[in-house]
Amino acid sequence: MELELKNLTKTYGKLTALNNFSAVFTPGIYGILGANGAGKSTMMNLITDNIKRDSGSIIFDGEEILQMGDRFRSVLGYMPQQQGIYEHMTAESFVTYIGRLKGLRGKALSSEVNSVLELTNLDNVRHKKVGGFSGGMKQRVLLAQALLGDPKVLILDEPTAGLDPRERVRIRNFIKELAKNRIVLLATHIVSDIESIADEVLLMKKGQLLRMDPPAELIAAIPDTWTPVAFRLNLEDVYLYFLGE
Amino acid sequence: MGEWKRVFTDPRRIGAVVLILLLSAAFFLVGKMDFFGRGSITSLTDGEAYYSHLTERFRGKDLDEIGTILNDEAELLNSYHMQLMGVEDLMTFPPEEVAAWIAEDPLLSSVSDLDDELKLNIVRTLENRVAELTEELEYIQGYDAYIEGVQEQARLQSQTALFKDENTFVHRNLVKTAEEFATMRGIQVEFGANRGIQQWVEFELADYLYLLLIILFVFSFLQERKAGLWGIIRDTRGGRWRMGVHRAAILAVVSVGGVALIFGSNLLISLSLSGGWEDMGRSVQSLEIFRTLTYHITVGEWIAQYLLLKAASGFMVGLFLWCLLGSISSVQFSLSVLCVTLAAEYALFAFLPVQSILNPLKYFNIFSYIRTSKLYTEYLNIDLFGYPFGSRRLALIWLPIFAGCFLTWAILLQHFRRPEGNRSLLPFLANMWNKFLDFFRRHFTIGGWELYKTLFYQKVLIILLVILVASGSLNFIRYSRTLSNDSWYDAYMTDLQGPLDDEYTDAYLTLARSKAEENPELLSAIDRVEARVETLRDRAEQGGYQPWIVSSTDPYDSIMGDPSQDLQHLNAAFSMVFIALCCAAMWAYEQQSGVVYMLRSLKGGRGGVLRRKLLCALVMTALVWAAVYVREFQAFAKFFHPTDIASPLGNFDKFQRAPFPGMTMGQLMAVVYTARFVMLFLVAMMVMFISEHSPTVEASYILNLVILGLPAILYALGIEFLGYLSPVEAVSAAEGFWTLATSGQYKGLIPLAVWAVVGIAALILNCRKWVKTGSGVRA
Repeated sequence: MELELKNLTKTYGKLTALNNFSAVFTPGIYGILGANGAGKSTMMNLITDNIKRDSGSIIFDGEEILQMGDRFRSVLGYMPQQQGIYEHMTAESFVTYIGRLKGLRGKALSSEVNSVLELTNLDNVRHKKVGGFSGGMKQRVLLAQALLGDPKVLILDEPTAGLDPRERVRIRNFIKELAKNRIVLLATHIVSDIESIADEVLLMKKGQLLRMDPPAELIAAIPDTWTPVAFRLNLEDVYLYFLGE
Repeated sequence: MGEWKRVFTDPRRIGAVVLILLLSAAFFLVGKMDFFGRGSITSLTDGEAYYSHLTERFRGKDLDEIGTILNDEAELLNSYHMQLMGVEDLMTFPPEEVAAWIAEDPLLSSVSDLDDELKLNIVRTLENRVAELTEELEYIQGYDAYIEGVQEQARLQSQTALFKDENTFVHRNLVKTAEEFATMRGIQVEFGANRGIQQWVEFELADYLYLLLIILFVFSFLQERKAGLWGIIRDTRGGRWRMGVHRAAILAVVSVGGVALIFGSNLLISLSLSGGWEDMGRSVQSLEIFRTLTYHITVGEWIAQYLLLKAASGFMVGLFLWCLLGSISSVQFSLSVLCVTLAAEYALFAFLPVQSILNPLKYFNIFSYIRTSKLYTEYLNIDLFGYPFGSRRLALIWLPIFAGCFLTWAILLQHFRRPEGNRSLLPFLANMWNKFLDFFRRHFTIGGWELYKTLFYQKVLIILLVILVASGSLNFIRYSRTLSNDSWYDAYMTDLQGPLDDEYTDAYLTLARSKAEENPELLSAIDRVEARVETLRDRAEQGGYQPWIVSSTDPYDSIMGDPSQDLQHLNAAFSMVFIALCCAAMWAYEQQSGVVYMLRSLKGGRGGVLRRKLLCALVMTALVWAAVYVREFQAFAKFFHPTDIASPLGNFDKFQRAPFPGMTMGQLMAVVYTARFVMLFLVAMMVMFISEHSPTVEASYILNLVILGLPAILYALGIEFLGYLSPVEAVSAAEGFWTLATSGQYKGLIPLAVWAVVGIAALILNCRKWVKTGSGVRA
């Protein structure tokens, strides 16, 4: 299984959000780091075909995703950054509705709904309206829907934002589990989330891919002369060093 | 001052207040109209001007003189009415006299250039005004007798064995009633311009809009809870009792301001149109609606007292609702609690029997204090421990007591109620209810979900119920009657109605001729029938269809032809408004919820959702079409001849030039009704297109009503140029097909074709925008 982004370019007027971006993803977790406006969300929206690219192609297992259409969407799980949600629905209704749209039905649907609600620790509030949920709880509902239908490509935009530390660790471990046989693209501002689970990290700046390496290699690439502090380097230092933030 | 600024400068709230005022004024004016449709505004202003003119003319005249003038006016109007209908035989005054009267009357002479249909509407309106004045005259003449009658009846009843026991409520009530009405003896009731005030008092909707205004501001007091700022506000120096006092003052200002704006403006409109400024010094009993009011007060004094009572009642009701909603910790349940409370209160107010033991719940009720006019127009004594108490007096005594209690409660709540840790049963009940619903929702298909979202989350179910009620008051038929002036001919033709059977027809006519016994009238009618039969046979032979004896096209003209064109337009305009209300939220709800990107990344989130949305639009179209046009067909079915429907069009004189004379009348009607359905669905597509481009549900409703609803209604009301900007004619459809059937010209179908193209384009754009690759739908 392989997802390849080839020379992707996307501009909004004069602003180039993604500039000739290329990357190849195989099963594993890919952490995406970059400042606001680096092009992370644009890349994800291009993969989910929510915005129109200017040029380039996205190939999944040798086939352009635009040609695949619904076949590609049936292997896709997407958790958007914005907390867009039907506030009138209960957690169970919302996840069930999305499950229906993913083509699940009958016992398979109810068993998957139960399983993702349990996994995201929403089981005890499943009959409450999501409009009354806190930001963290809404985040978990969105994560739950993305996990439905055993997606082969999982795109998670800030999945742990707003979660308490215990939840974050739980979700992080779960994502690690998931990644055994699927591609997980994970964009986040919480660098420690990526550090502990990502197989590779993509560093993005101004719509371009600066580096794409395992965290250890990135840390090792920082010259000794830069080290601002005396103790062990971590991915936060990588972020500061490479992205100049 | 911060709280005052926050409450009074919120643009959404200002918008809602303006909308309430506009609705109040608009519905008040519509309520004053005798009919709604083309020419209704002219009829309203002319009718009111005529009413003011007559009442001015009656000033200083005695009742007998007024009666004579009214009688003459009624007969002249009736004669003019008959003349316009083309039945001059029924005119009381000769045409020359009517013409002279019109020439002298500045109002009627000013409308003489209008077409007959509009003139007829105006004359009908004027007749109604004369009838009202006549009724008023009868009331004034009979008032003293009425007062005597009430006392006499009370005296007689109290002497009967059934009511004789002095220790019963009934006996005490009879005595009290007689005593109170005795005080009205000799009161001076005078003839004057009552219409303005009477209609103002009877305009119920203003009361409910006033309640809505109060609720709007009460909800503004809960805004910090919704925004999660309750704790912060409560921790500020002025966030507790001081805030409570400010809010109570705001509510007082809103109550007084609301009365001034809603009721004050309607009163001004009403008196400006109908007159009555000079009649404020009369006793209020001069108006028939106050015949049972048993204290002395002038009209002007009563209005002042009534407005004060309205403001005080509004303030008290506002305080009560604030206390009720403020007691609920979970703000998401506020609306549900409010709806349940209002529904329960209204049920008690409207349905509890007057003499029920629970009647305090009926009279100490939100709606008693909102519908305050009833306290003056309905004489009622309530049974309290066997003693009769006047309902108005009780309500007035308790009003300050209630207001004081609720004011204290509200301020204490504001001071002591904590944002967290309050015990409440509501979340538990809501959870149980949702669990129950989730059991069913688990089994929904995508289509089921879309329909459920539309009906419940977008609240279209409520809109549909309103449509069902509103469509009940639509008018479909403008009676058209062509007189043959030969009742015998009509009778023979009715007997022969149906497919023309040569053998039967000849036998019938031979028999009819033998029975006519040399009666020249009968024989002439039979000759006409024979000639008619021959014509029909020849025409059918040439056209290649079956000859048929049919009644005239009057029934069809009455509902689909020229005479009813304004009604067709109006009903089409209402159908468009209904469709806009049902479909405006369909895509906008997704935009507002911010789920567009997520849905579009799902396997069934593009084509799957789109198809189900279109299906929902189809269901909404069917419901609106049924609510309007099935009702029209029901109205029509009551008076058309059933056999005519199967007759080929060529048999109707009016449809001789139809390009398809073999098509039956039923088929033509089916085509018209189908065209209406299709056009309504295409209008739904335009609505959905606007919805797809609207960031919020609110914006979609406003845009749809402004772009599609308003021009349609204004065109139907007679602003002709808007016909080019609105698909009303296309939705109405009958006009185009009628022109085709009567003249053989296809030009009437041009609007239908043009708007069908626009609708199809909207459908295609809807599909492209949602399904198309990377179409950049707003997230």
